[in-house]
Amino acid sequence: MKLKFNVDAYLGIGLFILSLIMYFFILPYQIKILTYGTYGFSPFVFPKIAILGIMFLSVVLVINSVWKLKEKQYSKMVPRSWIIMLFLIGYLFLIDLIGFLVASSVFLFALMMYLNRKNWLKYILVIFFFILINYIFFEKFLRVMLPRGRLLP
Amino acid sequence: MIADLITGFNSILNINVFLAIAAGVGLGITLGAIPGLTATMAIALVIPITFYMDPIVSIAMLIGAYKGGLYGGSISAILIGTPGTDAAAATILDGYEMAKKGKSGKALKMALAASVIGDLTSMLALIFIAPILARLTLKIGPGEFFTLIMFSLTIIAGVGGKSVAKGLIAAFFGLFLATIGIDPIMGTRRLCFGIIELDSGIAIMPMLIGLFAIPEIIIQLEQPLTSSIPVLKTSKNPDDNRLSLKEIMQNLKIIFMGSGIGILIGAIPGIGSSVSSWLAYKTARDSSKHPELFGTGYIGGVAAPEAGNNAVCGGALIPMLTLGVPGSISVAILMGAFLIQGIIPGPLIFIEHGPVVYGVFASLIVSNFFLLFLGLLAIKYAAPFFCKVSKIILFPIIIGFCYVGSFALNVTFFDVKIMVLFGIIGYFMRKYEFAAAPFLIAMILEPFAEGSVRRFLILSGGEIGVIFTKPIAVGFIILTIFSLIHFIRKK
Repeated sequence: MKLKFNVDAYLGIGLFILSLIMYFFILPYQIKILTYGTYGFSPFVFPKIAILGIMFLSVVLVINSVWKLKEKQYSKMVPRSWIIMLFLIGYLFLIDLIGFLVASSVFLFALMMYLNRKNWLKYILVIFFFILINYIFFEKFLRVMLPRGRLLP
Repeated sequence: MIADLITGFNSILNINVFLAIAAGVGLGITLGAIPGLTATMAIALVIPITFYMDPIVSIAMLIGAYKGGLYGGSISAILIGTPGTDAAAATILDGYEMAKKGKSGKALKMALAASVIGDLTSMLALIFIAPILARLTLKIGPGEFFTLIMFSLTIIAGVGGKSVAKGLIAAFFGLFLATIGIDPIMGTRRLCFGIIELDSGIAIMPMLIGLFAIPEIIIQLEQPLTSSIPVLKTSKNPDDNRLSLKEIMQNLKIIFMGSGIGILIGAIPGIGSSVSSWLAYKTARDSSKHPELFGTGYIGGVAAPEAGNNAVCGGALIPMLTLGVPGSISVAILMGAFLIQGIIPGPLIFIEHGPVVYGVFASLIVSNFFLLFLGLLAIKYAAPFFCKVSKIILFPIIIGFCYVGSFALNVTFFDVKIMVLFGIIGYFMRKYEFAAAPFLIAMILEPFAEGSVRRFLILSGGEIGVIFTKPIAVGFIILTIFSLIHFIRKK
């Protein structure tokens, strides 16, 4: 029998390594027990059970996928999905730097133009209303101060 | 009970509640009808708005959005043959066929009538069953409660996804993430990595918005952005776009059958509205005198799945309210909304928060009338537009709303980061078929599970073995083991 590894097997191995790291290197340092109660169990138990559960099941996942030798098909990642995720993260940084309202107009226009470059005038109009609605609803009506950004006054 | 309900109606008789319900239902229909935006997403997007309202108003609005979303899905299913929501997939079979014959008006109205009747039936079931069940469940102690949670999570993990192992991994991942923050009993910081914002744990609401809005948008946008599918023309014959009372009466049996199925399926954790609509469709076809008509544009084929998927709403609220165990993603989100308002669903809810719960019940019934009224308006004026909305404009705007919404919840920028993080995690979970339901439900239930185990151990003097002296707990343990074996053998 020739062993064939598919995506599920790799996922299982990845999860197994991750849970090992969590169990031995992160849990002991991130939970410090201050006092011991009389009964019951320590705050360690639940996170430990969860990690051990993932560890065990990731082994099951590997065995399953190797045993069945079934080629599991997942829809492919296209470059566009990575770029959209980059957009999302970039938006976070932009808000932090130049505030929500300005960052949104930049982000929205950039994303729309990336998706389709035809109707840019329409995009600007929609974005204008988006900003206006958010400003009125959150700042004036709910009195929530939207993020201002570090670079702008 | 009737007196409580009347008090409930009294408490919601003000313009704010009515406006909130109308806005919830309207938003739900709109978002549900736009292909790619689901009922779950409608609730997730409405949450930030409801955060500033008082409990009854906010929960009424969320439930309105849920119902509206469930109905809205059928609009695009009928008009362009693409379900607006997974739950409306069964409606396509006959609904789209009817639209091809030019009878889209009739189909849409039948879908609305079936949805409203299914919904109303399930609400009545909820109102009469829940208080009785809550009284019975008062006997459940912490030990039994813990085993019940384990059982529900096993079922949800087993039914929800394609692989049991992956479903359980998702559940354990949810359990793990929920332990982040200050430990409830000893006050120890757990897994906070020195980040002060994590002391209170990962905020559920921004996580939800990320988990259910962002992955869907990325997945929709990564497909080729083709121009929208044309809406079919309606026939000139006014009879084809009208729904007579006679037609409703003829299909009443099918509608009630669908409602019954919906309530039952809803009450069982983990199954949800898409299964219920298919099952309602199949049952209606198999029990019909003319099964060959189904699939050719038969009006009963629209009524059955629509009654089936809307009736899930009331059914699913039963275990959530009485046991504190949500059975589906949408109901888990609703439970999160209850928790935010300081109302803990469970056996004590009718005692501790009776007026609020009956207020919610009253608003559930009122929201039905809004569903009918706004649904008719949507059919008349807006339906074709929903199907034509440009993804390129709409989806970025929704991303913008996700950011501002998750910020406004607690007015902290950290929540926005949480939202984006879970958006990306959620995307990979979707991609590699780790079901979201067990993850989310485990995460919401973890504090209760952990709390009840620890209370149980304190009560039993540290002896875990005492659990085997409790018949209900033993029953749940046996059920858990059996269902695990069943799921593993089946897949």
